[in-house]
Amino acid sequence: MRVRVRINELVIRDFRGFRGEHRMVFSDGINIIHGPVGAGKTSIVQAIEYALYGTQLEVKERVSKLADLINEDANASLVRLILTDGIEITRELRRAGETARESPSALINGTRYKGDDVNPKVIEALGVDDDDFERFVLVTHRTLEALVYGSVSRRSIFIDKLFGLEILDNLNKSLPMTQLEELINRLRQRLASIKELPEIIAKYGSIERAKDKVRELREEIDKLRREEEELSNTYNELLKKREELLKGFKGVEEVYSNYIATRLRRENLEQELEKAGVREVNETSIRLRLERLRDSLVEKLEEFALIKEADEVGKLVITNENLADAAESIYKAFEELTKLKDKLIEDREYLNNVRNDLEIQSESLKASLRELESRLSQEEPRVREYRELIGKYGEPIKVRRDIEELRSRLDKLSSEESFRMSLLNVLQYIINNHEEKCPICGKPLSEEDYENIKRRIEELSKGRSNEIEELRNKLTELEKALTSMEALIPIVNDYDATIERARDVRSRFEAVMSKLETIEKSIRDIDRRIQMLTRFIDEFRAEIDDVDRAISYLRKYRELESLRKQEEEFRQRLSDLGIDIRAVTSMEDQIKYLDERLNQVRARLSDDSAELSRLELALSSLGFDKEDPSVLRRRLDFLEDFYNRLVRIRAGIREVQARVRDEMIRVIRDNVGSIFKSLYPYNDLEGAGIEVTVRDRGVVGVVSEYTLYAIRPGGRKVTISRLSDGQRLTIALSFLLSVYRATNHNIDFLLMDEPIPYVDANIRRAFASLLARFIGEGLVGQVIITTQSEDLVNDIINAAREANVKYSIIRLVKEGNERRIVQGAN
Amino acid sequence: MGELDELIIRFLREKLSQDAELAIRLYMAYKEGGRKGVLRVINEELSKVGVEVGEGEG
Repeated sequence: MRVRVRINELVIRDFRGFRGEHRMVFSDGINIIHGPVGAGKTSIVQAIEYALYGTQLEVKERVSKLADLINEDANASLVRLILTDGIEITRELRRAGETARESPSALINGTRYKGDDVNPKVIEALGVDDDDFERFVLVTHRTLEALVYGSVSRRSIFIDKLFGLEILDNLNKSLPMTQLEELINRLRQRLASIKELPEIIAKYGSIERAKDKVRELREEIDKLRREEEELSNTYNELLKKREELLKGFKGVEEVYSNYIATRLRRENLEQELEKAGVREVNETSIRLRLERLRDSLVEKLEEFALIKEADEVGKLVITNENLADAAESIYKAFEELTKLKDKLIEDREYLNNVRNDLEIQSESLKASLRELESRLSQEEPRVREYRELIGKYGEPIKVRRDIEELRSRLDKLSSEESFRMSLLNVLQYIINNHEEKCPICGKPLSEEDYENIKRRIEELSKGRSNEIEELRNKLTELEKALTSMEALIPIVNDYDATIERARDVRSRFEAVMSKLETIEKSIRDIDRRIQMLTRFIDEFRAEIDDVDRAISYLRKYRELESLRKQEEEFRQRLSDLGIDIRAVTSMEDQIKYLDERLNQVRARLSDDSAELSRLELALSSLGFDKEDPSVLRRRLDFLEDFYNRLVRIRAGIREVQARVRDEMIRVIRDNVGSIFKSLYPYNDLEGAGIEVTVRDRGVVGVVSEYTLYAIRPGGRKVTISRLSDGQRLTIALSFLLSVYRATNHNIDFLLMDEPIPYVDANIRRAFASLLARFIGEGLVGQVIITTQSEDLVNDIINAAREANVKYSIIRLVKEGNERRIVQGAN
Repeated sequence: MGELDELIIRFLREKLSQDAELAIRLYMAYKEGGRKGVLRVINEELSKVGVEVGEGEG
């Protein structure tokens, strides 16, 4: 049997306000610790919790530190708690700077534990950890206030805490979701800004080399800037020089600028043609190529029945003068062929779709046919059987008629036979008994009659039983045949219908297959035409494009010739105006060279600057650290995954909260009622209960709202707000005790730290009598209650005496800075 | 470990399957060390990729 523990003795030394060593003994029943404000009542409660768990509520809530438990004039304190069942726990606290070092030891079941082993062993022995202890063993005024007088939300928060749901809520709030989101966003930004980094690494080999490149580029950009400056200066000087040269000659500017423009255009054209490898272009060769293209196009247009287009192109006369227009006309006609090809591809697509549909149809018909054939082959033996029966006995209608006839014959024969047998019996009776009179009509019988009777007996002795038997056998045979026929008729009917259906399906299948064959043929034909056309189009396009290029070069070639002539004319005119053409040309060449060089330098400067900016941006996003983007990517993946896990965990925790809530409600619901009944002595209420409503409050989240209620006789529920103070207290304590009892632990005491301060006499008395009653009812074996109220002490004493419950009083006396404990005082 | 802890841990396992172990570690860490305890567990995980979160807001 499980032994539940109570508190026997507490020893404290230099603990909080208590200087020196103090001892107090607790008994079963109610232990009242009474003293004025500041006498150390709460310190006693704290000492008990600290002794049990090495921590206590204020320390956990960070209201005070562990070191604050040591009396301010001492460097060490000691707490020893002796429980029933031979459990003794001792904790010594020693100051260590701002903090305190603890040395715990415990004696449990005769074994001594020290250090880190103490807490787990104590929890194991009590079956209650520090959180549970604070939930339902330690009762403070906050507990009862929240349950009895609090608003619905305050009460609900408290009950959530009592059920252990608050810890899950706080755990969810503690998850650093925002920080993780920030980390993820920062990483995403970094990765986004260095999206070029892999490219840079591929280009330069490594980040280190990219950094070297940054240095190189900076140096080169400086060099290019200097070169650009020098070139610009020289270029400007030459422009000035040219201006001065031309200043002396009036009216020369226009001719000069025309000459320079013509020369530039000529040089550019020369370069372009040289680059394209064009040395000599003539109209005739282009015309001949165009004529060949025209003829082949006409042939193809006719082949594909584009008669109108073929006719138009066929009439086209190509001369050396209309080469471009002719090429344009040929190209326009050629485009009709490309349109035709697109149309053919569309048609093929359409036919492919039709073919697919037909294939689906044919598959479906084939499957139906297979199914029908299988059905026919299953039915065939039964149909054969039916036909054999018809062959032997005729149609069922005939068989039925034959049966009727046989039955009628059989009936007739049977009645005749019956009559014969009766007559025979009578005649034999007359002979055997030598009757003198006929037993039927009473007529006297003569010798002659006797002779007639004997003769008649002889005649009648010949029976017709063989004939009857034969008829019966025949009848049975026919009936059997008819039964078989009737059983087979539905199968035969189905067989005939199936044959009809199979015939229909087969003919549809054959029609589909024939269509399929036609379509396949058409598709093959279109394919062939498309291939042929595609080949022609590709070759023709390449050729006409080439001719088009040749026409363009021809135009440029002709322009070049004209430019050379113009240039010569301008040179002549300048020479006539007295300009030294060689000097001018040399200067222009230098200007041109400088211009080109400047453009080159500026282009390079622009490229280098762009590359430098790109490198600097990408490398700055790394903060010039050595982190590879792949490392960042892995980190981001990990963080995103981890974040998602926490999101799932948060959702899971919320569901777990709901399940724990349901479980707790389920476990305590019955207890609340029965405890209430044993505590409440009047009959205007006969039970109590708890209900929960879970509401989604949007931003606030999901909140649970609990309703505590009492039950009137007849089952009507009355919410706690409509009850008297005494009734409320009874429900609150019933609820607390039901949680206390619902949990599987070994504790048999309640610790009440000033549970009802500042209440009126009625509530006080109600509370005192409740305490006495739940001890009396055996709900809890021991209560340790602190109070500063002398009235409450008296009320508890009266209630305990009335209920015949044990009680003891421990008074705390405060004298200046000293505190004393007076045990068992009245 | 109290009875309620066992109940919560059982439900977490049932609900979260592959994430349950982490959820249980976080729960126990919260019980032992509050938010600090939770951050310690989170940072143990994050140390795999060389980052950590501080004690700032959420």
